[in-house]
Amino acid sequence: QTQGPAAPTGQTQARPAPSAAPQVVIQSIRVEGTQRIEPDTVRNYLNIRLGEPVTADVVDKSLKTLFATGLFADVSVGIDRGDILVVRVVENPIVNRIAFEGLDKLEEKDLLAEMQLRPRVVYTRSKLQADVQRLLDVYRRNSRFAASIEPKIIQLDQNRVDVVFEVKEGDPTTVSKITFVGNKQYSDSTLRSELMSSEYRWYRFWASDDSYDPDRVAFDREKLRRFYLKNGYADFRIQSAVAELAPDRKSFYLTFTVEEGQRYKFGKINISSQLKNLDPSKLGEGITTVSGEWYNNEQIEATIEKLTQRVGDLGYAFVDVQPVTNRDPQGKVIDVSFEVREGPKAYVERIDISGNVRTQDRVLRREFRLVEGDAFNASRLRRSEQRIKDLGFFKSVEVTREQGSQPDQIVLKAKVEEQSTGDLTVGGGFSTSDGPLGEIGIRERNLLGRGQDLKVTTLLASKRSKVDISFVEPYFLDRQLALTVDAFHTTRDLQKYSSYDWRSTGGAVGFGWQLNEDWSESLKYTLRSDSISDIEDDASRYVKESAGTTLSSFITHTIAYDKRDSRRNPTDGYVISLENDIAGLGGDTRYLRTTLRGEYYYPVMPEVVASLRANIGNIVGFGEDVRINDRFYLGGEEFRGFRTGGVGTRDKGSGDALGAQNYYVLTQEVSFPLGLPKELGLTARLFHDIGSAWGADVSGSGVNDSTSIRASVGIGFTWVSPFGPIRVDFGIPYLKQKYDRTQNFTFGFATRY
Amino acid sequence: CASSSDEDPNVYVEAPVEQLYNQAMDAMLAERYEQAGKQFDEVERQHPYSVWATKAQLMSGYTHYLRDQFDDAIIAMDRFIQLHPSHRDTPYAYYIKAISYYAQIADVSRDQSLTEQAMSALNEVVRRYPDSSYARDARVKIDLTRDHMAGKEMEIGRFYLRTEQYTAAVNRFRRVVDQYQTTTHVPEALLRLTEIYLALGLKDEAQAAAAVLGHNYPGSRWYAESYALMTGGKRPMTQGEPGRGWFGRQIESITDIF
Amino acid sequence: CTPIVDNRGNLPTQDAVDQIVIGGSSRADVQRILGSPTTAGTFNDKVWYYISRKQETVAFMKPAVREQTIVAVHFDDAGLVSKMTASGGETVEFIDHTAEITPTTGHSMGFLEQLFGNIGRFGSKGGVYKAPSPTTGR
Repeated sequence: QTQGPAAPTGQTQARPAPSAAPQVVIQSIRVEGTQRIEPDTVRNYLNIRLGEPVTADVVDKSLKTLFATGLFADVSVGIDRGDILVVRVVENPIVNRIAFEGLDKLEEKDLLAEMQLRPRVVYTRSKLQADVQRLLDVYRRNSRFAASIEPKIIQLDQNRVDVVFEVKEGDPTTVSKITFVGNKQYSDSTLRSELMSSEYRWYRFWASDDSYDPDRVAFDREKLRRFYLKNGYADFRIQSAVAELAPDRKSFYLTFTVEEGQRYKFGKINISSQLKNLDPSKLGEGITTVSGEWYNNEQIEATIEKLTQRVGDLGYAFVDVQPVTNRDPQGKVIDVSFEVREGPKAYVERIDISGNVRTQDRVLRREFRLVEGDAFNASRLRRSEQRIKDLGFFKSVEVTREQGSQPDQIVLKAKVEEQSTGDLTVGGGFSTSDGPLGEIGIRERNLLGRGQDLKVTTLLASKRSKVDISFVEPYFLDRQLALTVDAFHTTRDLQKYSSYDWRSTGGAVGFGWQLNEDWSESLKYTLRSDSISDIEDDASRYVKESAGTTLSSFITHTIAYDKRDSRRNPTDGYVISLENDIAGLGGDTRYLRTTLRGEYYYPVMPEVVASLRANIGNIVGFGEDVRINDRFYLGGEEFRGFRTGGVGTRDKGSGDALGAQNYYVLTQEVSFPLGLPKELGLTARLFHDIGSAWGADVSGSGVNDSTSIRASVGIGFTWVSPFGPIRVDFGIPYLKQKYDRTQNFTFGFATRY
Repeated sequence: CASSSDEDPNVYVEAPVEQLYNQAMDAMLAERYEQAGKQFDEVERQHPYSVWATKAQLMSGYTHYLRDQFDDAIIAMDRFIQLHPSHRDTPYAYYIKAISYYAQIADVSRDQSLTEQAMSALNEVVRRYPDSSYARDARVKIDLTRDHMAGKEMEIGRFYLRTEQYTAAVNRFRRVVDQYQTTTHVPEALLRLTEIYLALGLKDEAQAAAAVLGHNYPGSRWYAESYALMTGGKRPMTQGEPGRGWFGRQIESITDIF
Repeated sequence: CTPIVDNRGNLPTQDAVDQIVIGGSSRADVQRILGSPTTAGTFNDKVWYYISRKQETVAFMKPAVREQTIVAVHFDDAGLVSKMTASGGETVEFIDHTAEITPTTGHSMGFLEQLFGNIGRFGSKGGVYKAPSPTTGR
């Protein structure tokens, strides 16, 4: 086993032609030393023409080109018998095999992909050194700064070599401490929660954001700057962000030295316009930058966006809004004047989309707020890029501008990188209302690259089973009109609550559209067949009356006004929605069901959100009684402290829940972290639910029915564990009817892969 | 350090080069391309200096091509070209590289970067070896690739047409008429221009487009459609076929998933 | 609910149009003053069109064109502006665009292939053409 790269492949410099007379006429070229490579190949690279005088620098140039091919370890030239140019070459060896030793964290194929050297490729020392460096970079990216790599070359016959890399990976370098210097206004922990990097903790074995990564530190500097500028510190400056290696060489200390400066408020705010006949006072309405409030540069950007869009809508094609601020350090006030100016005249000549290997061109093009031929407008371009990102189909979206064929024309180039949009969810869990449950779901959010969403979910629980297929085409007929098609088959064992089993099979077709930024509306037609069976003999006679199968055919109209900051976990804003179901277009049932829902969220403090939720519902039959399975069943998650259907009319004899035709429930809740570090993902909530459910067409002597208020108060926890969210609620009903069914403890847990 | 005996398990025993090469050829003729590819690689690995090694490099790339592993085929051919720029089979290597790109061209609604690469690779074959048999086939494929690029412009033009963005659509169809004159899409582009100019109220431009369509493609169905458009007659394409009215087309736009 | 307003194309302002001198301004002048035309005559390059359309889109309806102005700039053989005409939307016709298209090949992904994302081959449909093997030279 030879030590060190001993192969005679030193990259020696070409030796100049030995004392060739400056002007020599070459009649032929003889190539010596080639083994694998044909002499013609060597002649091909030499740009020496036979029969013409050859100067020294021509020879020198061709030697350089020969070397540039990387095929030869050594090249030399000589003259033989006056007119024969002799070119002696020593070929570089061929790589026979590449092997790694000491690999643990990274796999061989990842490293091979990064390297130039490969089996059967020409070996040169410069390639080897470049590859060693590249491998070290790969380890550094995986925050293994202590890794070391030792290449070994083994000489084989026929000028072949084996390359072996001896790798010592070392363990990951983490960030053990993050400290701040000069932060008087905000505590270390508040600032730390703003950063992407976090301190290493043994219990966060699945976390990856605690490893040291220089790019992440640079990103953190930006996040710190933005945090301070958002909270009024216009003079904020980061003096330094230093990462020193801890004495044990295993982790880093991160220290941010900051200069907060003063906290400013907004002073005078005004809008001036240099565009002809544009009256600036008209633009002021609804501007979020308000004098007297703390200075916040994000509001300035939002105002610029709003002004640019508003002026654009008034028909001014080229708008450029510049904020001019002047600081008054004594008065701690900043005056901001928004100047509306004529922007550069430019038109969109063409929009080219690339990188969409699976997604169709129109799925991206229809998200553009600009069309070819339009006047170019930066805020519309930003909105277009944001809309494409919101599709969720792409890892990265990059829209760049290039000069068009005329000075005033621009070509927009949208480059996307796709990510997998299909997910397979296999879940298991337990909930008090359904018992142990298993769930399998397949979903493709970008079906056939057409932007369509297809979801198939099957759920199997001891008390419930469901199969559901749903398809969404967001741009039906290339319009902003979402078409949804659903098919479902559900069975529920309600023996415990109302002594019957319920099966429901059906399908629905619906349209949804956006009236404007906040208003949305939808219209849906559903055809459903429900059947009530396995009724126990001692069940309520009202249950027995509803046995059998009924066909319902109804239209649902929904209209909603949504001002929440996010749909998934809202912390601010409110949403109001009204839903009406009219059944009677054929089918056996005739009723009107109305449900009004309202949610209001208020961020009391960072991470503490107070919310108020109200649901009011009513169902009234036309010329017939409302069937038992169409009525409302209040309880469970919607009214904690009571069992599903626990509140509502009830058969005195059998105790079966008969549901209710009217109900309301009002939930006040405040959720807060338990003071534990945020990464544990444990939040708690206090809640207070008030509500009632009453009225059923069949109410008679044998039925308990009361409009009295029921109420419960309780506490709940949600732990977002690495295996999935676990919800626990503990509610105590303090106002109830004797015949209501209570349930103090509800528990839900589902894992998803 | 790894001694040569325990190399990766499927290494073949050292054998004389002719025997290895012939085994590989037999495997290929028997369409066992994967095995053939491996054996050709072995020829080159064990006997890098034999004349068979050069041929084996080419054949190994060719087996990748036959197994639709186009990226590998292109890499193998590039390596062959770099090592043997003036070899008897180098034109073939350029050709295989070009048609490997060509075989991966995606449909017009998707990313066309491979189309451009195919076009430049095909052009290189024609430029370097103009009178070779490969150039003849490359010229045919160049026309097909140009036609495909025109199809891309049409696809985008039709998107803007469907959403009634005529100021955007007109230039896409004009580019097809100007830069892709020899492609099969020109008649339809001219009809689209007729439709757009009428929708914009530019009668004389519509008339000019219909006239050029009639003059160059008198028998085509596109001309019949544009003639009907200009003279207000019954339009064969839109009103002609039964059941193809508005509703038929909308359902089609959904069902053509499968 | 307020409709979304979009201004498509290039509408030269009145005082820019006034700067064009009939018989005096060249193509370069027009390009400088009015900017690049939305489109030019397809078959006669002596006319430039500046087309602009103000359209409003309500909810899911197709964009409705409220205003349309076309400024046509004609050039004589010497390349100077010979006449300029402006027209609104009066001669607009409502066209139902034919859904027929010219077929293109290119590998359009089959349903299953899409889901499992491997990319197949371009070239003639049906039996796939394979290039001949190199001279075998056995």
